[in-house]
Amino acid sequence: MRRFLLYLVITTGALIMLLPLVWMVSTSLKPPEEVFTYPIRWIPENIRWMNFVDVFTVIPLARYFFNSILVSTTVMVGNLFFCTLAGLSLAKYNYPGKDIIFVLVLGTMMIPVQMIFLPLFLVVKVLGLVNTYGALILPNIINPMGVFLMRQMIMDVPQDLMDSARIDGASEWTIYWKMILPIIKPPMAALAIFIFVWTWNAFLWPMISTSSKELFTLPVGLSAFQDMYGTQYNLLMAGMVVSTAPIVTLFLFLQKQFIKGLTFSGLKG
Amino acid sequence: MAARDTFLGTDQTRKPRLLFWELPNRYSKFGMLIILPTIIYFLVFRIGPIIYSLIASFSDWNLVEKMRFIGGANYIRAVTDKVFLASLQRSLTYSIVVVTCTLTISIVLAVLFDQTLSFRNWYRAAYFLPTVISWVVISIIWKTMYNPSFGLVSYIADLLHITPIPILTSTQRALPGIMVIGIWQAIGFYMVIFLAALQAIDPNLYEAAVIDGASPVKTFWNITLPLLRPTLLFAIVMSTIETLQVFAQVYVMTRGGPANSTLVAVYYIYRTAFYLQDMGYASALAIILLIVIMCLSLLYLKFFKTETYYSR
Repeated sequence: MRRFLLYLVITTGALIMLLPLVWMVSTSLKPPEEVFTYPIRWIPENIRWMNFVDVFTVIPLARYFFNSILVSTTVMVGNLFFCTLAGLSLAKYNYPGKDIIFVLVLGTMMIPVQMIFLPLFLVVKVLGLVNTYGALILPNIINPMGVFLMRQMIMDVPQDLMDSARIDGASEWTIYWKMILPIIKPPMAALAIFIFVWTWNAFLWPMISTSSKELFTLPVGLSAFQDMYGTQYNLLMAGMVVSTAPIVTLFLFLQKQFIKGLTFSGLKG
Repeated sequence: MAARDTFLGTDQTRKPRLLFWELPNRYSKFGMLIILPTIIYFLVFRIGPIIYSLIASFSDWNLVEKMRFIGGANYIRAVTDKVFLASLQRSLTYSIVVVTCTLTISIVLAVLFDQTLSFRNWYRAAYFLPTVISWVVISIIWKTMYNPSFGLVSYIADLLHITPIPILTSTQRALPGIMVIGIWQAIGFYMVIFLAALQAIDPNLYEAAVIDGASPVKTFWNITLPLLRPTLLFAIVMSTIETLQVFAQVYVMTRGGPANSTLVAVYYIYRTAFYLQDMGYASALAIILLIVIMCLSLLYLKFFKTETYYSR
């Protein structure tokens, strides 16, 4: 009996969690006149697949998609490269000022980009980056949490391993590339997914730093679509399905790494 | 030699303080080289902006004309600006409600999921899914679901024989409506964080509790919750920071309306900066918000760190 109640509770909960997403998919398949039918028809009478074609012609969705892929991938690769380098430096080398740098990283970890959007905009403006891919990419190219995470992971790599490689004549770069990186692959995968999703979904910063349509990422493009053609719900929802599908697929395939990434950030924080 | 070192209290493993030109070997030079991009990044995109905004907050500036230094006038204006103070209070209310509800629900879910269940991964994925979807998409979905004429919420109200009520157009219900979405989106994330913490708890503790005849509720209060303390602290600080930044939902769904009832602090700052082009004042507001967030985080840290720390 207790078992049954437990399943009842978590199943109801799961349905509530999924209902809005079912709503999105359902609406995305409806012809315009069926969007407003009442009571709600979850499976449309006439499924209209053309919504997914039309939305690409009503708005430059393909362009937004390309921008999102380009920005998210670049930011992800940049983070992997710079965060592992910084992590290695902070974990295994000694030089003056190292402690100050580490405190700096920890201190800014508490301040998310969203919170400093205004000063960041001013700096990006001074650098002449407004309305360029640079504005979307550079301010996010290193994540303090990533630096911290990578440092923690590299700390666990035995010093002897590195020293013996040095005796064998390996250069510092070889040690980083051929020894450190392979050892910390799992946390790197977690970081990669984390950063990718985070960049893919970002809204406030991309909206502030770009005003030309050619640079819109998916969230900014969808928000603009909603403002301009707010009543074409079926197309709007089709656009949203298109922009959400990659992330959801990524999540379903990489669930383990995904959750590992979260718990890394949670437990080490 | 070793004995003398011990006698003098010098520890051989202690890292010597070195000046720049006294670098011992090429390894450290490599270390300095690879940290360089990070240093530049932090100076340009984190420290620089904060200093810049501090300067701007003491000036009158609309991005077009030159910055004009006006002392603390912006700050004085801020503490007497009723609209700003109300928006700050709204952000705090939003934060407190959403953080409390989210963490309570996610702890309960984590405890439920800590048991062996069939289809456990599927359930977990279902609860977690909203977390990976962008706020803009979530906001648009919920906005249509809240639509009084064809939305899901009215439909459910109809089924339950309640008169359908408008949500986003009501000054009383718009903010609670946005809170619901905040909770819905975040519970999966914190559930996973708590689940990880629960699985690290030593099972022997529970066995001992069973032998002592403790009820499940008692076990939860006396064993589980105290052991979750560090995770709970992390979750509270993180979700507070996150909820105080609520923006996309407000931007997409209500633009602060109706009658300012959903005007939260970040949206007010955004509006002051980019609609009114009042950069100096907006900078001052942003700094005040940043200080509020930091004070809250420190307060939580202090409040939670006082008692015994159970560690694994």
